[in-house]
Amino acid sequence: MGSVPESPSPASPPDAGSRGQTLVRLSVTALLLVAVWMPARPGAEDGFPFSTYPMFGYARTERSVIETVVGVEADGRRRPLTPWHIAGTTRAKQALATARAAIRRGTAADLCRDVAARIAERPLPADLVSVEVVSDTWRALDVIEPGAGPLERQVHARCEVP
Amino acid sequence: MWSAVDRWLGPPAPASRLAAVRVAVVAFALAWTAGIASELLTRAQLDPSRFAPVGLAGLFGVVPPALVTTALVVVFGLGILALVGRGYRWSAPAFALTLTWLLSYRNSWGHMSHSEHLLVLHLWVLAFAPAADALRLRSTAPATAPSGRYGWPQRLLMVVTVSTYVIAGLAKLRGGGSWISGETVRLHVATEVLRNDMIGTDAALIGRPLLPFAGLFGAFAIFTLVVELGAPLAVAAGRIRLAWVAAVWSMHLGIGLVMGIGFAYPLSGVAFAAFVPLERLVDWLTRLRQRRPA
Repeated sequence: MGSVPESPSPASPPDAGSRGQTLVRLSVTALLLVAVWMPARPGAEDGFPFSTYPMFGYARTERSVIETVVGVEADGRRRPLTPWHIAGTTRAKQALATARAAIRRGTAADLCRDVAARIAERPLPADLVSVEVVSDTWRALDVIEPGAGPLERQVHARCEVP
Repeated sequence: MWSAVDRWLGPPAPASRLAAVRVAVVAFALAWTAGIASELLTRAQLDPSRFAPVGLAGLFGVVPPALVTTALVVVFGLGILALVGRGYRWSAPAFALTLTWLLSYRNSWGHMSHSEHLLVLHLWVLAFAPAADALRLRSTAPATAPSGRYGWPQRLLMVVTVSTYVIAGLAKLRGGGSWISGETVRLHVATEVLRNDMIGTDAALIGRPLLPFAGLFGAFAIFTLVVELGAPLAVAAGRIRLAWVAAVWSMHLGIGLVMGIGFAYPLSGVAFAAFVPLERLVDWLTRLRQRRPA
């Protein structure tokens, strides 16, 4: 790899030409910054690649609602499922987003059937007999208590594993 | 005044510094795309009802999975050309455009990954910069003198980077006083640990054992705000810049260990390539190569 010549010389003093160049640089820099900062205004929506960068910035209450899909064993014990079983993805957040979207759109039953079919296709170590699409309300800090469970569980859909 | 503005905007820099940033950023983009390719193809086969377009994905809507595969192949071809600096004037913008569409498409299925925004912004700056005037495959042209035309894109990369961190910091301030006290951070961590439990993963390695120590989260919150809102200091030269890069990298490492959320681009260090004199590494590698016996 090598390099190619360039001009003009960087050491040349500012003149009319370089003033124009400075103006161009200033304008392009300003335009880019306006685009990057536009989402920072109050009420702006997150986007791509210009973002509000909302990660962990919003306030949280002590109660957290986790929307997901769980497997149920014959004795009624509930088991977590993998992101692949929930949404056909390897990403945990994508799987949880899929469950949340299904619950909000009223398509939890469809998701439930899809998950059950994926469990039948690729069984888990636990002997699961059914699947539930749930909204679990937790006191978030209870997660450090051994054996703690959700304060409330809402089951949106239940279906058998074929 | 003009000369002062020009000196700040485009400080003289060697072509090899900007070229080294190009190589690092494009190489990362290619590696990242290779890493997400399989998952992207899985998403491309999801039920179209789950499609919620962001960015350029809104232009074409849901497309056949074969088109996503084709776009991946095109991205790799263009990316390799941009990496080695061949046909850079068209290969780099085309690479940036195709990858922006591909990543927009990836983020259009209900969950937005915020680790790709800065990468795309950097690729767009580099796409229109003379970033292939050095480190170009099979080029025998002589080295050029340091110039503001190489320093300006580097400055742009820096101001874009620090802007994203300040925006993130301001978003946290809007969350209210509970953010600064650390209570909000603690609840975010607890919720991430809960989510990990619910999905059967253990990505938040040290989040759970830290939760009983409420005071720690206040320190984390203040450190995060200082790093994010103090980002503009990084545009200054010297140790302040290096100290900020070290601090922001530590912040991302902490987020990864405590919450199990890895921001690969900053964690790799490549997001901060424009903040360091990478040409020294290039010079060192060149000397090393020349010393090697033929």
